[in-house]
Amino acid sequence: MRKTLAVKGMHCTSCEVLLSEVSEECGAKVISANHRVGQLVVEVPSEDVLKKVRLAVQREGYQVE
Amino acid sequence: MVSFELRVQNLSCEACAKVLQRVLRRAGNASLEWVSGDAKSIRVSCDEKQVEHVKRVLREYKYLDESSGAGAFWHVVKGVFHGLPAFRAEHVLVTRCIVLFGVLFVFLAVAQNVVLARFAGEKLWPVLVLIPFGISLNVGALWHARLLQNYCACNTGMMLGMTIGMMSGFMLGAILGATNGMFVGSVAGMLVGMFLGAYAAGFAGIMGIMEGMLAGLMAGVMGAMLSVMMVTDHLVLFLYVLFFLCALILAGLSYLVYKEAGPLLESSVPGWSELIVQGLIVLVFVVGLAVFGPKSPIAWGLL
Repeated sequence: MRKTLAVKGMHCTSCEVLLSEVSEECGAKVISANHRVGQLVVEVPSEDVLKKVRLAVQREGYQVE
Repeated sequence: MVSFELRVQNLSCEACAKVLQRVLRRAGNASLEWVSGDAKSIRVSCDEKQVEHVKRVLREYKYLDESSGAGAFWHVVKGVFHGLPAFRAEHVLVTRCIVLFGVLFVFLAVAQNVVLARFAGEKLWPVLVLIPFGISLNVGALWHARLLQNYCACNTGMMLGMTIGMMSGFMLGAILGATNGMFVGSVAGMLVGMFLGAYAAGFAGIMGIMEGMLAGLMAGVMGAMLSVMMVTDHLVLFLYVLFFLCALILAGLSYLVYKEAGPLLESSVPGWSELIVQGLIVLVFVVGLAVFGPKSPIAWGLL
């Protein structure tokens, strides 16, 4: 399922790369990451993976709404 | 394992450093030792065989700053002036050379007023400034030669040869007077410049030796000629022009040093005692020539 996460605290392309990498490490497929609109779009197989993605993103110092 | 510094760009937040760390880990298991956002520099350690691979990966991610020209040059000058982490050793060296200049200047000013009061005239003051300046500059350049040894390329050797040749020729020309100084100053400047220039280039290839020699030769002759013009013909204005040019040469030297051998300098901050000893050795040599040289008061039977 495709989920859109609103992420606060993204500044630049590096933030996009970082969030994409940590999301993929959790088992999600990244559709897009955009620091201008503060959005991370992922495709996850289950709610568990989505939870993991949220936690991983928060662990890197970003806020997920 | 080797550890080296790289100039980087596009680092704007903490995430950039994290991404950089990940990129480096993937590229040959390299690790990020430190990141300096101010100096736009990073220090990386990795296996010796992986250095080029690491650079290639950083280049792909557009982190590696390989710009050259005025921008890169001023980046180094600003770094040295502000004492930013990547330029700490050079900042310390420059600061200590300035202090060395001050100490020698005061010493010579006192010596001139006390010992050489009979000969104190308006012609002496440019020499009074020139000698500490030349000694400090030469000590700084010698320090670079000692640090770099075989690690620098021909052009750095050429810069070293030029700086030392110019200042040696300039000082000796000024001290030994118009006639002898022209010959002795040029030859001495040329010899010092050519051998140090060649040494700095590591005697590794004919190009390094030739460039160091030629730079020393030209600068030595030019320095002696300028000193003769300046001191004998009262062309004191040249002093300022030459000081400015020498400062430019030093700035260029710093740029080359950091471009080629920055990591080496990081662990080799010069100690006060070594710097002062080097300065005193050069001072004794110069004062010896002034007192016992062919144009000295002793040689002319004035003392």
